Amino acid sequence: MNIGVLEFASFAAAFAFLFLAPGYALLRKKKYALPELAARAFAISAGVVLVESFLLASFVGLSALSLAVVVGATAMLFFRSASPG
Amino acid sequence: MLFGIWYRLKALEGLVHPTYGNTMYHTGIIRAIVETGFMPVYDLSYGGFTKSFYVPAYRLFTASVSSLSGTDPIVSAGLMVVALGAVSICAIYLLGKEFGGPWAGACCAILFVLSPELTIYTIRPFPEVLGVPMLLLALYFVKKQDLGMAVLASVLTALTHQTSAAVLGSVLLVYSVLARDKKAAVALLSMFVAYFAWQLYALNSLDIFSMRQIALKESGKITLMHVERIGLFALLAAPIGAIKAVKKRHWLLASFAIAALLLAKNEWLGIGIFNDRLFTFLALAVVVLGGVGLAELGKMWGEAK
Repeated sequence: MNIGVLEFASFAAAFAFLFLAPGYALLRKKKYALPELAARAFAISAGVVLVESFLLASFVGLSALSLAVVVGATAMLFFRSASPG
Repeated sequence: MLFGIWYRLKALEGLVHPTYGNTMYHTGIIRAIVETGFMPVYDLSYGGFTKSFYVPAYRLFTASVSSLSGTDPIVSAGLMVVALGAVSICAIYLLGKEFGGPWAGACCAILFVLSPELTIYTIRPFPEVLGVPMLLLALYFVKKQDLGMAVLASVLTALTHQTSAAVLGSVLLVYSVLARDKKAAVALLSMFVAYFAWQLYALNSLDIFSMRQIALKESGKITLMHVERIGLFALLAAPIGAIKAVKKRHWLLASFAIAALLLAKNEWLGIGIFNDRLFTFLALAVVVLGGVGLAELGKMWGEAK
């Protein structure tokens, strides 16, 4: 398999990019040792990527389902607060 | 870490991928996601008329990195083996550290890299390369009693790899009972809900027993060769780690070993499926026990001097 330096660097940058936001947020919130920080950032990133892929790109059906859940939950909250007592 | 990464670079040496195992089965779907923006609901193999029962996280994760970087999906899948190998080494270090301090973590990481069984399992572009670190991280967050992260990692494991999910679910079940840990029970429940929600969406069914591989009782026999492949040092030091786990009441480590053993030898429970695949997770438990045992041996040797 032929992999150019640019291709390798591009992949490494994209993989590292996934860690950036949660890693930075965790750094600001609490002082973790590097392996623990990386582990937490990785798990959060993987979760965010999964949800993003689910809802925005891959699953139109599930996206509609999640929208229905959000609308349903909002409606429930509305009717609950509107009911007397 | 450097040795582990160097060794996993071999995933890039093949003309396309290491050709053993059905690696292109997964990479084909990753390419389809990248090219179309949609995850195929049907398998691409065998004429493409059967619904895909594989959980989607590994494919979506690799496809996302491939899209983000503009790297070819086949190359991305190969590089993902290297990147996630590094995450696995980091994860097993963290878990080992929880049971016996930093030296135990380092020993677990070294034994993980040296284990032929675990190397065979994590050197090919399969969902396992994400399933193994997610399982280890889920156990780590359960041990840290961090409910949010434990639930997140457990749900991700459930949506990454069914075999890893079966192991994690069994460990959490045994641990919830042994240690009466409510947070582990919540993590178990969340992964259960996540998996069956996916299956209902993908297969329109909650029945796992009618899935081809389970219905046909797909399995490989565990032989002495499998046991040797765990790694000599891990095998020798694991009993010491097991004794420490019981003496120090590390119920999570004990649960990991018990659940992995029962799953690998599930014919004892009258099931008899996936024995050789589940055996890899017994190897993972033995490596953690071995790492803790080696660190304990070092400590005893230091005290004797």
